[in-house]
Amino acid sequence: MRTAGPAETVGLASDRAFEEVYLAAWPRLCRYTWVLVRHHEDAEDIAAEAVRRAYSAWQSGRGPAGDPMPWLFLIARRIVIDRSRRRIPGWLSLSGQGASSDREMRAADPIDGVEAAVWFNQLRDCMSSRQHEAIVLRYLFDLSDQQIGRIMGLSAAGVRTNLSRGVAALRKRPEVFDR
Amino acid sequence: MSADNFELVLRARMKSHAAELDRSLRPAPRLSALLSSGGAAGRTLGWLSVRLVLGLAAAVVLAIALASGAPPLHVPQNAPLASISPSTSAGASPTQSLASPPSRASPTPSPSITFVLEPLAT
Repeated sequence: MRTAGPAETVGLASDRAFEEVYLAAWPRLCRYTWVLVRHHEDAEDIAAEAVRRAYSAWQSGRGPAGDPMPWLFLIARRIVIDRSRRRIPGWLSLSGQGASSDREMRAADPIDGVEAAVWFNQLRDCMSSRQHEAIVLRYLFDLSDQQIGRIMGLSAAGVRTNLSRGVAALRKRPEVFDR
Repeated sequence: MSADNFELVLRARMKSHAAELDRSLRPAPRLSALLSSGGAAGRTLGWLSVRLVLGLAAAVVLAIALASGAPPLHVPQNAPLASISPSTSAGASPTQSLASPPSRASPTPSPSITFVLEPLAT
C-alpha cells in the first residue's frame, strides 16, 4: 500500500486547515455577500467563488496573515465589484445604482419575505450603501476600523466618518431601528 | 438613549436579525464539491474566450479587407506623366483624371484621385 510522502502530507494538512476555515467562515461570508447584493442565490454564488479563489491563493502560499474573515470579505467584495462593472443583466451593483430595475428583472428572492431581510433592507434604504456596509462590518462582524478600511478601500478616518453618519441617519429613523 | 447604549442595542439587534437570516441559508456545501464545480469562474472564462475569438475574427477580417481593397499608396517619382494619367483633353489646366483603374480585387472603384499638373499649351 502506498503511503503519502512528506509533500502530500503537508498538502493534506493545508487542505484540512483550509476546510476548517471554510466551514467556520461560510455562514458569515454568505451573510456579508447578501448584504452587498441583497439576493440570496447571488450571495451564495459569490461566496462560493470567493472560496474557490481563496483556496487557490491558499494553495500558492498567499493565505491570510491573521484573521481569515477580512481576507475572505475582501475577495468577495472584489468579485461583486468585478461583476457589477461588467454589468451582468439582473445584477445589483454595489453602489445601488439601477437597483430597482435590476431587482424587477430577477426572480423574487424568497429571503426577501423574511422579517430580518426586510429589516436589513430598510436599514440600507435610510443611509448610503457605504455607510450601511461599514455599519454591518462593525456591528455585525465586529471588525476594527483598519480591517473595515482595508476591505472597503478607505482610511480608518473614512471608516469612522461613514460609521458616524450611518448611525446619525439611523437615529433619525427610530421606526426602522425599533423593529 | 446614549450613544454607547444606542450602539450596543444596534449591535444586539443586528446580530439577532442575522441569526434569523442564517436559518434561511442552506448549509455549507462540501468543500470538494464546491471547488470542483467552478460555476462562476467557468462562466467567466467561457465568456472571455468568446470575446477573444470574436475579437481575433474581427481583426482577421479587417486585415484581409485592407489588404485586398487598398489603393496604391504611392506613384514612382520618375514615371512619365502620360503613363500614369493619359490626358483626355488638351489645354485644360489643371486636369482631374483617374490615376489608376479600379483594383481587380475590389468590386468598388478605387477612390484614389490624382491631380496632374500639365504644361500649358502656348
